[in-house]
Amino acid sequence: MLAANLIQRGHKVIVITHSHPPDRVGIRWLLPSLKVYYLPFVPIASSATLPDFLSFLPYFRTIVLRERVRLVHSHASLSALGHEGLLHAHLLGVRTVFTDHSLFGFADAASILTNKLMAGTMRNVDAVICVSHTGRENTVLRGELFDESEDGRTMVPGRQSRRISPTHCMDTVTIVVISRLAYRKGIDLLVATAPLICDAFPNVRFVVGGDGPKLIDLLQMREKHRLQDRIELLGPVRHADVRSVLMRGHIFMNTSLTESFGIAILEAACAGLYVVSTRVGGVPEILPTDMINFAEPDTDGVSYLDRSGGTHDPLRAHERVKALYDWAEVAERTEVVSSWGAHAPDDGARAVFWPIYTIILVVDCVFFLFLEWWLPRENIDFVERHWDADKFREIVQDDDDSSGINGNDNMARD
Amino acid sequence: MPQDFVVTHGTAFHEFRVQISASTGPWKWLILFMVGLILANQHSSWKWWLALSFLMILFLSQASGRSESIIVFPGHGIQLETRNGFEKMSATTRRFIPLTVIRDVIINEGLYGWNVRYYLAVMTEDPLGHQEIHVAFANVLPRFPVLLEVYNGIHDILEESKINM
Repeated sequence: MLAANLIQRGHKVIVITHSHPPDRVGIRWLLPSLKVYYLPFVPIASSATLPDFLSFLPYFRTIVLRERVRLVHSHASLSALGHEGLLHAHLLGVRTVFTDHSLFGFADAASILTNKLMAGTMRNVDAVICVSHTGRENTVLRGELFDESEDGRTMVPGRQSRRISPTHCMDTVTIVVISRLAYRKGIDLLVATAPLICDAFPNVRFVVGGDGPKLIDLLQMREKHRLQDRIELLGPVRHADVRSVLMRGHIFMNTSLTESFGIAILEAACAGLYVVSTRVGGVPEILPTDMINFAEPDTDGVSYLDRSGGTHDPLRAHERVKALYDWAEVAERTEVVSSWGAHAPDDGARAVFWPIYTIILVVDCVFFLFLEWWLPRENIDFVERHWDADKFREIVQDDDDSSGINGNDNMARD
Repeated sequence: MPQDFVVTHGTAFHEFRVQISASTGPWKWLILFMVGLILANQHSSWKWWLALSFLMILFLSQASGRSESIIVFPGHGIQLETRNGFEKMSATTRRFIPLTVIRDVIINEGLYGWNVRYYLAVMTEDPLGHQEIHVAFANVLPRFPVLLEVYNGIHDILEESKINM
């Protein structure tokens, strides 16, 4: 959504990511005007690749040079490609922006390593965007961005708006849950409380969409309590279908154990659903208090609901959410941050603390010099033509005007 | 090595050829070869002959030109040709794609090792439903401006032939 809005504002956006099995590798166009490079890195577990500080450099360099990229925006602190992108960007004179979407702890081994990694990368980044105030605190603490004078200014974007028509009242109350069925999303809580809720309120039905490792637990719970007619499991739901799933419900339940922002909550509120959620992370910041009801992240807390009972007006909720959040506004604010990044003074001496990191940087530079010799810049196939919205409009209008002969050939012409 | 782009228009065909012309560089290998021949006569060990044959192969591969072309036969189809070797003495590979199976001619970008290159491709689909992509200029790989001209040329020709049919 952010990309689509940035493109509407006139920027050129390309996405670089690793390949998805079985064979989504190469260069594809998503929607009109969004070019995605799927690079041949093999993902090892749930779409995450191995961190390797140098293997991304050749591809990155080629892509940045041929597309004449001026800003790199990296998402997710656990993304290897993201970290590498930020690292290599400075060799090519490109500005960098970093965004994190999740909150992380500080105590377990995985967190300590990733936080160190992130701190190193933060030294190189020109600007950071965070999704909520809680997210901002978390990112600052993890990235050790203590020095006020650094380019550590952060911004909290608002989000989203969708065209929604409200649902009608029914005697059965339907609770919708759409999420990745993973541990972090608190599916265990759902498994524990769903039978309790079904017992306490006989007119309640569940609709659960999504897929993940915890699907098995849900299925087992359903079998055990014989709730097949009251809990409907939809399996993986495509983005385009999420809205129609949300439309079927009256209440949206979010049981995450940790959540930096929670777009799903926002989407549900926009669809006119009443939201019940665990009070974690950045969730309290999303919606005004009368549209959302909180519970502590444990079993007993979540099993109180059915507050809606007629006092919740879906249409009004939708209107309010629409007023609060807007993708176009997000795009605008992202643009502002990017321009901060672009105008940051080119600080040649980036402070680097650890010897290992220094060695990696040096090897990176050497590799870069090698690439400059092996694939010189003059020989790169530069991208001359990109999606041109005006041309498209023109062609479509011509098609409408003419009787349609050779319409296809006109479209093929760039 | 410099690439030349040549377009030939005949009455019943149109050829778009990209050729890598023979350069004068490799002739130094021939001179080395001559010198080596003289020396080998004096020493006459098999190692010399091995080195000489290697030099000869090097010379032949570098000194000869390579060319690839797309030939469009309006009403019949498209032919892809690859030519290796000298002008008078070359090994030519040809592949003809009939018009009935051609669905489209496109320019697309693809990952090529560490690089990203543009390529021109003919998309085909035979009556059995089997789809294929035939890449043109697969060995020579010219840059985008050349491909664009070929693309426009082919589409012009195909459109014209549709109108005239």
